[in-house]
Amino acid sequence: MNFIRTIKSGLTLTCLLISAIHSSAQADVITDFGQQVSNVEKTASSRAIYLGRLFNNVDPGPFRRMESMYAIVTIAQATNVALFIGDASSGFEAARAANKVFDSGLRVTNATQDRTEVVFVPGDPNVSPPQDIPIPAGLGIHDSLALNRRLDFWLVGESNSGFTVPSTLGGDPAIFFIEFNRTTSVPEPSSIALLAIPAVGSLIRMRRKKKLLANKETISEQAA
Amino acid sequence: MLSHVLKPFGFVLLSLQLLMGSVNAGYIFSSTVEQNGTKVDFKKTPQNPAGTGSASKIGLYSFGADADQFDYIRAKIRVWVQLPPEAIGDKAPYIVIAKSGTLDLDLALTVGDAVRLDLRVSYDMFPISNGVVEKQTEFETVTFQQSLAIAAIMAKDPDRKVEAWLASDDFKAITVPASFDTLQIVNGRPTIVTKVLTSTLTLEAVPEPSTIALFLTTPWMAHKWKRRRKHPANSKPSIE
Repeated sequence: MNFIRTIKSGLTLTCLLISAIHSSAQADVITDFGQQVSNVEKTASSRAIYLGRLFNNVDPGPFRRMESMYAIVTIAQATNVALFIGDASSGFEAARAANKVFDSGLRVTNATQDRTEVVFVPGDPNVSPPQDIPIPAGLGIHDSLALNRRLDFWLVGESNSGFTVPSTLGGDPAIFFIEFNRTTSVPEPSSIALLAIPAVGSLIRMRRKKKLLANKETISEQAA
Repeated sequence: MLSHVLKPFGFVLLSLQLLMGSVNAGYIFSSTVEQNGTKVDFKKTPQNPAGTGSASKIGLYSFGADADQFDYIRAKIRVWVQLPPEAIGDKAPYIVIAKSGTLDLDLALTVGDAVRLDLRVSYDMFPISNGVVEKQTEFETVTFQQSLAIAAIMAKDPDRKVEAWLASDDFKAITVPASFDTLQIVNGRPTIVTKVLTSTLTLEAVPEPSTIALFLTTPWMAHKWKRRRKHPANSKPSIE
């Protein structure tokens, strides 16, 4: 009977904690677009094309990480080209080594290789859910935005890749578009502590109760 | 007296008209087609150990059923292309005329199904941009050997069609797209507009040898005919 009561109280506490965390979690969507810069940097290990800078003067707010995103870029002859985000408008390899740019996890591939296309990653926003960003990259990207109030975008392929990113298309600007879903629901240290302390507490309480019960039984046996 | 002046003048006019008539009939061959966009990277070979360079098929051009019977002296091209900024001077990609249906340009050049021209499309040619732009070259000389090769390649196709490729020994990042999409943001949402791209190849041919001969010999013939009429031995005796 006591055991059931203990489980019940533990469950209630956990539910309370979860609901508390959920009610405090916030999410929002930020979007921006601009003309592609298309400066190429080629090294022995990669061929990186600078897309440009977006989210100028965007307030980091209470948010802690970029959770997921959409990207729309104008590109040709691309296969699995990676989108890197962070703080560097030139010197991609140095910025990557200094952990100033992060791999968003997005990969860009042209549907047809004989055209310069607008590619939606991971797909049409009306149909596809946004692409999840790995947690370390999501935290890094958000920290970069919070620190610099802007984000730089790079498309990166192998050193011998021949993908092209235009800045203009017959006189019109070639545009790229980014949408981030950012959130506060990060397993930050305080939340972990908030979860762990009551759990440990309830465990100690359970053990203590068990001990008391055992002591009671021993006393009653001795009395008998 | 008047007839003596008018007759040679008439011959000259006639020969000029003949010449002009044949120019209008097609000594400038021009063909406009939709761009193809197919691209092949050059393979690693003993001559090209790094496997650098690439070729992009611009399109399949048609110049008429008798196009293989002319001598070509100059060529120019209009093409939509994206080039790297380094593609200038002797690193600018060049035009290759190839047999219709060519898949392997390296092989086609080796077996005579393709011929490299001295016509280049350069990054620094107006308009200069890091994007897809429409470039128009000036007329570039076609050598006699190149002309023979073009005629031979034309003769291999029943419709006398030829392909033009944009080839580079140095770069892979060259795009000759069949079309491009323009992303426009309308009310904060992305909208796409697609533009299909075309290219024009123009070949200039010399007048046929018979026409040149006619043009050159007509004044001489007129002069001779006039002299013959004036000569007393050839003139009819006058009745006094």
